[in-house]
Amino acid sequence: MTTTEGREPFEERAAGLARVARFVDGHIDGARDAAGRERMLLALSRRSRGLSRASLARRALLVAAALVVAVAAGTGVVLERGSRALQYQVTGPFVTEGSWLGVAPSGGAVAVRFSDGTEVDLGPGSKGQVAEITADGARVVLAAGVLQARVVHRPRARWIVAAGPYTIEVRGTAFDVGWSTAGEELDLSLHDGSVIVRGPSLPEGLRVAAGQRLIARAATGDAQLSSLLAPAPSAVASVQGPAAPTPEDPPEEPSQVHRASRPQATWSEMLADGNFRGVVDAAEARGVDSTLGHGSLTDVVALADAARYLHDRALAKRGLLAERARFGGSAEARGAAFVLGRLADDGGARDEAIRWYDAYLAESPRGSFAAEALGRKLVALVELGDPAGARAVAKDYLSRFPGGAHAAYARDHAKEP
Amino acid sequence: MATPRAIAKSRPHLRVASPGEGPKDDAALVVAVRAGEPGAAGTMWDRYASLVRRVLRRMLGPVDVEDGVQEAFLRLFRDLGSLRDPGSLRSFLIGITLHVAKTELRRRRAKRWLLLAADDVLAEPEALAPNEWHEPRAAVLRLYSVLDRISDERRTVFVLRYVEGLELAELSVVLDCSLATAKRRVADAARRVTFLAASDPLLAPYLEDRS
Repeated sequence: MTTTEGREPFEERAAGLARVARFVDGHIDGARDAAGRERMLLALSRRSRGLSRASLARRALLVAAALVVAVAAGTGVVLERGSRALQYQVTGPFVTEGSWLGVAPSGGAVAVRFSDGTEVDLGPGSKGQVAEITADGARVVLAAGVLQARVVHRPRARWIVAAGPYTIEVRGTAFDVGWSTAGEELDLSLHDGSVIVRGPSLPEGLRVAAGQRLIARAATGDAQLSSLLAPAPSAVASVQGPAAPTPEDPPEEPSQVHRASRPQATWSEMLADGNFRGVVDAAEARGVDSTLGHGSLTDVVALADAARYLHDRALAKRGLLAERARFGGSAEARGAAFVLGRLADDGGARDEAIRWYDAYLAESPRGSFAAEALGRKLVALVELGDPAGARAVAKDYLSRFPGGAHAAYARDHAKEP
Repeated sequence: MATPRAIAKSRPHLRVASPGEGPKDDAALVVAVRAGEPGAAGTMWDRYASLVRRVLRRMLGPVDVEDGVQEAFLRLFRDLGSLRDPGSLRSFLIGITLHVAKTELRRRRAKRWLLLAADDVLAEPEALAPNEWHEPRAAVLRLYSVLDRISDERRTVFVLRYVEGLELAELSVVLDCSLATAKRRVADAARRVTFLAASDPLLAPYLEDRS
């Protein structure tokens, strides 16, 4: 689906998000700019006279220091893993179950960054693990949910992403893949490079190229290959056979289209796609009360988030309260306290907002939103006309988050009268 | 009465070029700098320092970038001889600025690896303008935390296309790729950034509200 301007929805959303970065500009006061100009002209004039012995000595020192840092960094990596295998770091709001990484449905994506530059992200509500890791790549298993990968192309690189009975062999590419346990369905979109997919009905492997999308169902062995630019697969057929050579420029129209309609996406998938209205419509079709009272945690979270993004505060609040009432103690329920505080804050209910922020801070003192919760509590206290309370919170904030977004504001309100 | 050019020739060290002076177009400015004309380097600064500073800050986040601005200009003067089309100075300079920014991003990453730090949020963000409210500032920090989790390539494409508003044609020049590839990389970067930002309570409103 495209917008009236011809842009894809995610491009529209990126444009909206870019407004945040425009708060950062290149403004600088005239005196600093003049000082920079003079510094640059001075450096140019020195350069024109050639490098002095002193500057050469400084360069030698810098090179030596860089070598020391490089050796130290290398040592740190070896110490961390003890082999020549790639390293990886995981950042984001994840929970572990044995070797599995679980991502909270409302907690944002989890980024797995490998030392060769390869990036794998697990979407909200997903579960996965790095099952094997070698010097040339890794085997990543997606148990459920959505995964985005950008694999850096290197000689001998060998990466495998496994989802259900399917394996995706990768050398260097970028793709999104989803695995639905309920429908036993693989949904793969290739943005760059190519991959080979093996699985039910694809024993010899199917090559999927940039610009193509593959939907495969394990239960029936169906596979639908279409263009990412196509609105939806329209013809019906089945794909089998050996991997074929990859075209340099994949066709923009559907190349091999094989099924009548696309299976229903989960609510979490719709949320990740930005289809908030679709989530709410689906909940209304199922019955909102029924969803909130008996639905899975994943669905309740998706509904609450979708309602929030649609600015339906009442429905969002019901969803968030359901998370806390029915799934108390979960990461989602703890996060819901902060979001409930935001909702109350935005509605002007400062006292209620403070109660929710306090609840969040009590349950998640080092949580992802602890700084925001404490900062917002400070703002709410100031707006309620409670300078003594604000002062105490401001001091607490500065001791815990001295570089936080509310630090300047806290410094203003930490001063004794 | 001596002309400004005659004064420049006779007393080069006293010549001060104002932003309005100097060669009118970029091609002439490049020729002037290459010829070592007095005031040309200063004019280059006056014309492009704010662009370099802005691109660096938008690539790196709200931090002090003055050292990076210096480095970009020194590289520019060093490499200006390799600029085949003097009229494409702006794109050439943006390319150099991106190189400086990526070097800084790699340096940050190495530091994080060395310290095995898990948190990618800017440690010492420089304050935004004093009159700016905490909400956008908090959102800015969250956005750069998201950008820290994507590749430098995607970060570059997102900033240039969506934040700086570069047209695809100029973007393809800066990235040294075809228009079709630039288009694909833009879509890829947009998809990735919005995917990561979608469930952040502070960023989500910006995804939906483009007013």
